[in-house]
Amino acid sequence: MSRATNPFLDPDWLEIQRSYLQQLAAAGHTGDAHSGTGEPDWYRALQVWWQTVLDQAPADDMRVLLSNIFHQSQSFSTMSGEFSRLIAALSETGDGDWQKIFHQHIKAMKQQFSGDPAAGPGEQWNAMLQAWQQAGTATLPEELFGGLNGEGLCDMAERFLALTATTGPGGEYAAALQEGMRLWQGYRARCGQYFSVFRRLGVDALDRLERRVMELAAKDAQITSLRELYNLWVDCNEQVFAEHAASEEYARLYGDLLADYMAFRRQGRKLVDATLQQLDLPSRESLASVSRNQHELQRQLRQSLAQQEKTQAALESLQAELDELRRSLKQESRTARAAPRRRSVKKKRGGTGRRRDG
Amino acid sequence: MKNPFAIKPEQIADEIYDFNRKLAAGVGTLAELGEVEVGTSPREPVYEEDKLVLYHYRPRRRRRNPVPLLIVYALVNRPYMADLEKGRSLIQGLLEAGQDVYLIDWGYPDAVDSDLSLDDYIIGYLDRCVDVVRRRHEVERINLLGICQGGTFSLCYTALCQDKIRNLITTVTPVDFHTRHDQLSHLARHVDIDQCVDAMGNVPGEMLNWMFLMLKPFRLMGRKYVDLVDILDDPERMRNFVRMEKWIFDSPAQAGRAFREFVADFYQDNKLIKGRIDIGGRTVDLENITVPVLNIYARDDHLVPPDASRALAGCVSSEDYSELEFPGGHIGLYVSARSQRLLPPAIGRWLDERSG
Repeated sequence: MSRATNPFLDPDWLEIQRSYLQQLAAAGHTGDAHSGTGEPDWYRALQVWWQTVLDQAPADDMRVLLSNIFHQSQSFSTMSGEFSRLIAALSETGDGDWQKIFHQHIKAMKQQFSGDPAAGPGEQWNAMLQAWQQAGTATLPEELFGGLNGEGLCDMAERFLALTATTGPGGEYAAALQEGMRLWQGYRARCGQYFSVFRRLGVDALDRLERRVMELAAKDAQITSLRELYNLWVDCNEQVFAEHAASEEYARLYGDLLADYMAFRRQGRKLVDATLQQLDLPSRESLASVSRNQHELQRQLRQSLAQQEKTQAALESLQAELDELRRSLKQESRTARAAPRRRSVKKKRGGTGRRRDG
Repeated sequence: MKNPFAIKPEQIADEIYDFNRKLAAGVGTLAELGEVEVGTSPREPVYEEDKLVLYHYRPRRRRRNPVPLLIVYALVNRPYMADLEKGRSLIQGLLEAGQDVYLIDWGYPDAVDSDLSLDDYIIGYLDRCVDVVRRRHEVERINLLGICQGGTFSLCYTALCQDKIRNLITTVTPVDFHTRHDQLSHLARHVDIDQCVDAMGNVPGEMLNWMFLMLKPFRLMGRKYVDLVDILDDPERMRNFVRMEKWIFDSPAQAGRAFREFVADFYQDNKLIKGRIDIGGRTVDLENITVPVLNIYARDDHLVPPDASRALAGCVSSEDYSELEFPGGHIGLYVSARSQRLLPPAIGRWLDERSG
């Protein structure tokens, strides 16, 4: 795809973007024009554009890559919106009060991260929080590991109940389904705990960002681009996270999150197996059992083959020894056959001698 | 203090515009990349068993080390980790250094492999591959090179079957799983591994990738692809990037039983360094190892911290034990330009001196 044929590289559209952003910047409200959803208009426009690009992506692996690029670009754009408000405020007030303005912005961001009700409904921060959580927590296990999830379980429950309605009562299955739902809710609650830790870390990271900017100011260093500021913020998050991740508290929560998800998933497997058994189909457990047996037989077979090889080697060695003995024996017997003649000669001589002696 | 924000509001518009322009242009670059090839060094399969394939790489030097070298990598990776592309290939470097190279491809385990144990991998598959190489070259002992978890397997194997090994090289290999800065182990110790394996059967590669991502979530999920926008218009650099992505995310599922054993015995109970690992009914005692050992670790490795690898020094009885520090990270050891300059020649020299 050349530049000329790349439908996404439309200079007019990009120029409109630039012009729109510049108008907003000139008005001192960069990125602050909101639709009813709480997201800046330009941000929503970009999202639509990105989604269009993504839908047209050339191949599956490229689509995954593009999706990753766009998600992180969203994170960058969202934070750009926040930081550009700060930059606009700083340019309005001059250099004298920069520390105060900066501190106020950091404070406002912290209130939103911590979910402080005093900070108002905070709709405009939703996009940023979302992007931040995406960066901080990757995705959760149920999205990553595929297969069953809570919504899937509900679908399955409906199908199962429809099925068993005609085949007989499914009391214990219904109980198992309820248990599955209980485990799912437990897991979702744990996800909430996990997110709240990340919210807390987000607040700590903003404190760290404020400190780092002050350190830069003390050294007369400068932040010359939005990307530089964004990267600094990401680094602060990483540092704060690394410190917390080394704690027992985090490791325990991480373990609990996985354990809750796995408990739910195991229950899901049980339900699937129960359904399969109901349909007289081989369950996953029975297939696993066949697989275990097969491996055991394979191990035994390999042991037998190894033993057979050893026995074969021993036999070959014995055969070689036997052949050698046979050869020696043959040689010996040839010698022996020759020996009587010599002996008879000797006997003759000896006999003569013995007789002579005798 | 002077205001450090040297950014003007109108500059922000330009910056976002520029970012989006690069992003838009990048779609074209990605569309033109085509299929990105990996692991292209000429090779032939010389032994196959279940999903495993043992490969022999076509030698590049007429005068070669008479003792063949077998490479054993981690179950979580694919074999092209050691042969990413021309100029970024440990295998090509070793061939250039006059080594006769073999490599085990473990394959992609599926549901029927869930009961494969560490015994099956170490004194089963690995041992039979070693025997194949010995027979092909009519030698009693061969050289063994282990990568990461493959290094741990190589250590266990050498401790049990030392009569078949001439020299041992371990690279970024965990030995002490409970060192202070081992974040992966710190997290793994709190995972209910029985429940994981019972629930999942085989453990999907995505789960491992998630665990690795969560070691540095913000750099990897918040910045890596933003930085990529700067090189989106450079097809060659993008091709390299896509290759790396393919390598990082092409993670086979882990056979459930072997994974359970590895996490429980090595990561959680740290049995290797305590001399309490049992393989095939025999205890793995690293003190049994007396063959020459070269232990290579990466200075900035966040997956296997240097001290987790360097613990080996106090465990083996080899009189000929040496270490080599690589100035980089876990992945850089195999794919960085610096490692290509440093490692293969160093490994080649070390082996040649000990294989005469």
